[in-house]
Amino acid sequence: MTSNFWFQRFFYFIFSLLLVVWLIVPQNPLKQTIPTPDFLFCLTLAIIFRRPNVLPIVLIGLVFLSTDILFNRPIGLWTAIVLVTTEFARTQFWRYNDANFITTWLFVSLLIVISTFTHMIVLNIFLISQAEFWHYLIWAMLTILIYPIMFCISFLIVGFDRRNYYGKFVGTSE
Amino acid sequence: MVRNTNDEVNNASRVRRVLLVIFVVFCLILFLLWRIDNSRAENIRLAILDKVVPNVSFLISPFTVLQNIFLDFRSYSEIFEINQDLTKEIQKLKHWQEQAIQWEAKYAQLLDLNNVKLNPKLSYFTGMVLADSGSGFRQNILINVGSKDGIKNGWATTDGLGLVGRITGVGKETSLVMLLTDTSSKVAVSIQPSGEKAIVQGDNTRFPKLELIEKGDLIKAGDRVFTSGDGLVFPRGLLIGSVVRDSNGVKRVNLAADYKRLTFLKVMRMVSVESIIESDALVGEGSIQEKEIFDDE
Repeated sequence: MTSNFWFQRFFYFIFSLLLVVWLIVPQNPLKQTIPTPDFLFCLTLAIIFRRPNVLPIVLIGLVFLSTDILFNRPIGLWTAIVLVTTEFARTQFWRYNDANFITTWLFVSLLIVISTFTHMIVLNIFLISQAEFWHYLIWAMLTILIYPIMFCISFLIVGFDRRNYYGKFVGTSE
Repeated sequence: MVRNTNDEVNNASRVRRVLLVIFVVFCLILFLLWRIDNSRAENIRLAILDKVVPNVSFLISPFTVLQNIFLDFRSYSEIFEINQDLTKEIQKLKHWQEQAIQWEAKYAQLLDLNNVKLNPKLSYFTGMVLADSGSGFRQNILINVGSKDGIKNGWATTDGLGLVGRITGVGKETSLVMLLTDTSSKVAVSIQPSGEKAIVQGDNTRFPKLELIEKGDLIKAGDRVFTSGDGLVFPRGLLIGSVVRDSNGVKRVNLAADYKRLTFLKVMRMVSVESIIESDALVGEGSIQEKEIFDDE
């Protein structure tokens, strides 16, 4: 199981890398029509709801910190918010273990909206010039809308197997 | 056995909590440092990008190729029409080219007759776009010329037709261009033919806003927007675009540069002009402005 974990982490890392590279390709037609949603945040949440113990904090932190640097965002802020959000999602995992997709999606939407507005409010407090309110709203909505896609992709990374759903937390299978 | 696992879980979660707190605090400290010493943090960021992005260009290029195939495929369907239009355009342009050559000769003659001394012309060098900013909230691009080529902070970049933005960070081999659509981009402009002064303020949309207009009713949709050279950030007279109104009646700029296809950018080399700081101490205001501005004609 441990080696399996490392594979999944590795896949997550590779997939994030590809996603980031795809996002920084010049003249991306997608980015010219809509504000780019945060694919990576969505993917991370999707994986955490399927397998809370696959992604270690350090991995998430490093991935998001490097995107902060690469995407010209305020360094560190979004990473901190993502870390807290994902950790909170992890603690809430047991509630949504047996819940259907729609319920999870609603909860994820709530998390996305809260973290987006925290981000916005902190930027406002620190007087950093930024986008308007509706821009954040659209961005949060798009991020919510791509969650099903990222949910499907999360199967590619952590697999379909429900047997290890609790992993180490219950210590049943192995 | 069960208790053992529980203990293990508790220990693991405790370690996790500590790790989380450390990491989050670290990130927040980074954020504070970034906020406090912004220019240094941006320099560090650029130094990192300068090291990383040229080295991962082999990763970027397959995506670019795929995307170009996709875009090309889309444009093939319209290729016949485009071809016809272009043929017509070429004929028109040939006429203008001829005219321009004649005018240039005449212009040179007249200048010679009048013994006019011109400012050095704006020279430029061309860079290629390496990467976009990946987030929806920043409008930046990275180009493949840097301090090695003599690029300096603040220089204007155009795509040959209209202003694209300005250099906000210079690495050794790359530099960062802040586009006019970025929320922190503000450019002093003058709107022709009325000559009104205004500020073009980016707001993350394709059409940046026109703000601080003195007499708004003098400006009509379709008026052309040029840099005014005020504030000595940009040379005077670079084309930005034309005025449009959105559905709320807010005046915006339809950018002349083709933001959809930014591949090659011209970086205008700006010769630093001696600026006079204490303006009143010398002569009247009007004559000083004329000395200060960059004149590219």
